[in-house]
Amino acid sequence: MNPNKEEKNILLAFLALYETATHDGYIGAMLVTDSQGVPQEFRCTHTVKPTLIQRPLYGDTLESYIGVNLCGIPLIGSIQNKPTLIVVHKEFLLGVRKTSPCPVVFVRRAGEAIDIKTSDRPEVKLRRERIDSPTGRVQPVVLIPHHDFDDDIASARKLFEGIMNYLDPIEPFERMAKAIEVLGKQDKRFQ
Amino acid sequence: MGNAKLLDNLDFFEKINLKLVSKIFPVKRTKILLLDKIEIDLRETRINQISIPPIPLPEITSDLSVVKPALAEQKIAPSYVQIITCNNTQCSKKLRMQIDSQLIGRSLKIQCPICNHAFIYSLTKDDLVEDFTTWLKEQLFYPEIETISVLIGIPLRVGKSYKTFGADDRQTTLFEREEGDQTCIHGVKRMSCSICIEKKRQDIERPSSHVDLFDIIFPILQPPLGENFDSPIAFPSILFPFQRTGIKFLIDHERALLADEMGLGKSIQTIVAIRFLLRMGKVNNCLVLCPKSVLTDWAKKLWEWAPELRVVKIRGPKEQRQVSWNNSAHIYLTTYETLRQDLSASLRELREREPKTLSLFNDTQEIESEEAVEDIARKQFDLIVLDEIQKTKNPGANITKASRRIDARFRWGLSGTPLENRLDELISIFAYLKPGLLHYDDASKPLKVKEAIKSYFLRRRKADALPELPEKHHEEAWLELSTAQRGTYDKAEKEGIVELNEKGDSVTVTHILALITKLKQICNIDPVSQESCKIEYLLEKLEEISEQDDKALVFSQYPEKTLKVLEPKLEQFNTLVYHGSLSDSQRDQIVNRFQEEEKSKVLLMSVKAGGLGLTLTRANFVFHFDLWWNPSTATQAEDRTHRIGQEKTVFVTTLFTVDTIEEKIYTLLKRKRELFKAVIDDLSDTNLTKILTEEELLSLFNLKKVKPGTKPVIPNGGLTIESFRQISPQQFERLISSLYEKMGYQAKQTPQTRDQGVDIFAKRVGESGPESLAIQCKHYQTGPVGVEHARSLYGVIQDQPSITKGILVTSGEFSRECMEFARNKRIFLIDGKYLVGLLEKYGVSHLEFI
Repeated sequence: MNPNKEEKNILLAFLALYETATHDGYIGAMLVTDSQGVPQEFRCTHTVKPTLIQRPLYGDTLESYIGVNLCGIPLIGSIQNKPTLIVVHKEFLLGVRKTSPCPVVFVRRAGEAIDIKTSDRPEVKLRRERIDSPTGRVQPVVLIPHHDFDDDIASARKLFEGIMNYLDPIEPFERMAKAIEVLGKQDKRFQ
Repeated sequence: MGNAKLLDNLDFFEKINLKLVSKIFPVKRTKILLLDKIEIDLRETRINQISIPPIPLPEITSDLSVVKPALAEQKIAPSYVQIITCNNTQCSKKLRMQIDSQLIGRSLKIQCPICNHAFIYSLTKDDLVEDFTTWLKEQLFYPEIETISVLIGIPLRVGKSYKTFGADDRQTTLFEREEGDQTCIHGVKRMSCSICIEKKRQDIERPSSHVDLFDIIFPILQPPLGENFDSPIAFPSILFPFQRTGIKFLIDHERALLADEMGLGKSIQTIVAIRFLLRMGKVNNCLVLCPKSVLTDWAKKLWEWAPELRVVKIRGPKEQRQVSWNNSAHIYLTTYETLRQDLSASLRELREREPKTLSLFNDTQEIESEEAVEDIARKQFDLIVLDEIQKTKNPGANITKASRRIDARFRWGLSGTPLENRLDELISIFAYLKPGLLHYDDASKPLKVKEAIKSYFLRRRKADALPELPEKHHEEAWLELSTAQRGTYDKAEKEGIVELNEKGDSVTVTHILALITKLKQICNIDPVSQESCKIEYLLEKLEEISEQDDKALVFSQYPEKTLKVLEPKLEQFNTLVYHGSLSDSQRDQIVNRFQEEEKSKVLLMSVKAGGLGLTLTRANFVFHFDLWWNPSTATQAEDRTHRIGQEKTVFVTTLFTVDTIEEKIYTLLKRKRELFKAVIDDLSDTNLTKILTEEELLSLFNLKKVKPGTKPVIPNGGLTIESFRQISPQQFERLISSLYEKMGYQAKQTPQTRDQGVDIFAKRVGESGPESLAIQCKHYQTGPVGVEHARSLYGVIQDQPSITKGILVTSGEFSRECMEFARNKRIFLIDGKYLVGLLEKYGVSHLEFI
């Protein structure tokens, strides 16, 4: 099945934060592809290495701060090919939605996590949608938007229902991880 | 107790309560008594107590020093604390007294601070208790106060946009496409941008450490192979029945040797067979090994005949090859030499790490290697194709050893040479294709060999396929310029464009044709190094043709520049040359020799001379070394062999070079196909301007004709090389500095003295990182810039690793030695002509500096 004309114009951006092999730093990366997953642009950051003092001072907020403020938002600003949708692989990266010009969703495999309610307040309940591949080629996924931007789920669902005929939305993150690994071997600024 | 003195002092016993025994155990002699215990009660005893004073808190003074106090060995005189009791019986207060060692043995007058009673106290050392309080206090250091930053800086972002290709042209992302009129990041057309052109040239020439990382990871970022075969299989042109037979033969045989004569389409049959096997799921990946001269041609054919397959061409710097090998693809295309190079050291590493893994390979001999690529030794291929497999006939050759290490289930060999007459070679080839089928002893048993290989061997001669073949078969061979050729070509193109620019509206078709001719001649043969990718290709093909007892005609437009160089290089084929300067008798002699002498396999002809009523039907292969403008002229040349009396299909091959003027002309002419047909039908030597307009010719170099009647606007005030005479050397340096600033650099001139041979330092941050230039300006009005200046600059940049490149700029020219020295080094030369072009492009006027 080939993409139709509308789908051909779609650009997807995959935003990820990877830890270095030595576990002492983080690299942010963003891959922009068309609806079939063919790369259009790739941007990444040099390694961010918090010091031994900074780590405990930031505590649990370290990853989200680095992922969103230091890497995610600047990466979104630096890409030339503006995407229709940004997909993130970690929930804390949804924080980029506050400054992102386009919808942002967190995607994971359906059934790979158990959601535990930490509060009874209705406003913290996250909307989520399960998307199945029409052809069954791709495993179903769950989309989760930023809690302040619930409307993103509708546009994301519509888009995913089309592209999941030929693109697994989790797979590009694996490519990016491998690319980051190769970059790390070639250049010490990515180690 | 036998001490009489002690017994005399009975007072002792008054003070003690002595209990000697509670039981007496009589023994043999009464003088010995066993006592079970002795208890001594000491009355009026006094317990002396030692008071350890508390350690006081350290004092924090105002003169806090951040410098760590030096730890010095302090010999602290011991001090003592003594608790004494006031002699005044009414007071009897216990007094704590700190005493220095100097006071030991002296009588001290003590005044009780409570009752003011004064008394004498004599001090002995035994009475003293050492006081460690002071010592402890001395050991306490004031802690340092350190400022700890909690700010984490925003990291630098790097990357690349790959979006120069359409989403449906998936495979073209692996090959370069012509850039046409696209604007580069510097704001000028890519074809005219000297920086982009130079960067591209250096990307080819640079050592491996300067490869763009984001180009290296591009294959990794591609989507997985998956199932790309939804669309029906289609072919760009009709397959002949004998070709369909060949395809079926390959598909049905895991081990096969396809030995069709040259020109019958072995590559195409192989490519189609691979497509079928992939679609049937019998193979997942394939390795194609071929000689270097046909690598690009294979790539083009794969693109044409298998567009849905992902093909990775393994070449380039080591890092690029490493990623390419490790990336997923349907077809890996490389040369024998590259495989040998990348496989051997990888095996050595594997041997060191996992000796047991060696059992997977069928040869354990060492091979020398210069640069290695990891993990190629572990790569599994389902199918291997060895083009021109006769090149691996020597089992001792390194390329043979390397290619035979690949353990693929499907093994296909392609060869145009008549191997059935060379049993030794056949046996050697089948030692890999089908081990155990033949033995070297069988070399003396041709019938046995032929019978044994019958199932795995398919060879069709042109005579066999003749009924299906057209009378004339056209083919294009696309080749890549060698490194030296590319350097010469790019330089000539740049200089030519600048010259055309200088002419302004006085430029004519003649000027353009002159430049085109010069560039086409370089595409044929590099005049500097004499290298030629076309000659390499031709040699490969002529060997095959010669072995199958066929003959070939080779046409060129340039008898002096090309045919004369070709003749000695093709000496092995007893090459004859036919050109217009020969006398009639000489021409007849050459034609007769070619037609009748079997040893003369090749005839070199100029296109014009060869098109005059000659009959050369002995040849059935025609090579156009370069493309003539008018296709009818080429057709006339081909018809020397394709005419009455010709019994074989005539195979015509035209040689083109990629990314050159030849490709641009080819593309331009292709668009005008309709006009072509009219020209061919007329069979006349049409005026060039009827095929291509002046504007179209100018567009080949991205130039536009200035409209007549309008004054051309020359932004730099009419700059020419002579204009530089008006400015001084210092002004020249400022001009160059200004130029680089316009090019996006931060430029800084060095002081006039003690500049270490560098006039300008320029820096900027590009896509691939910071770029730092050391620029030396030579404002020479007479005489070329000699090699000593290039050496001097090279020495400077070698000493400073932070400098990316050295630039030597002159308003004149460079000597030949200087240019040769700068080649393949981090030095770029800008002569006066090139400088004029740059100044014009960036709108820098020399008048500002006068």
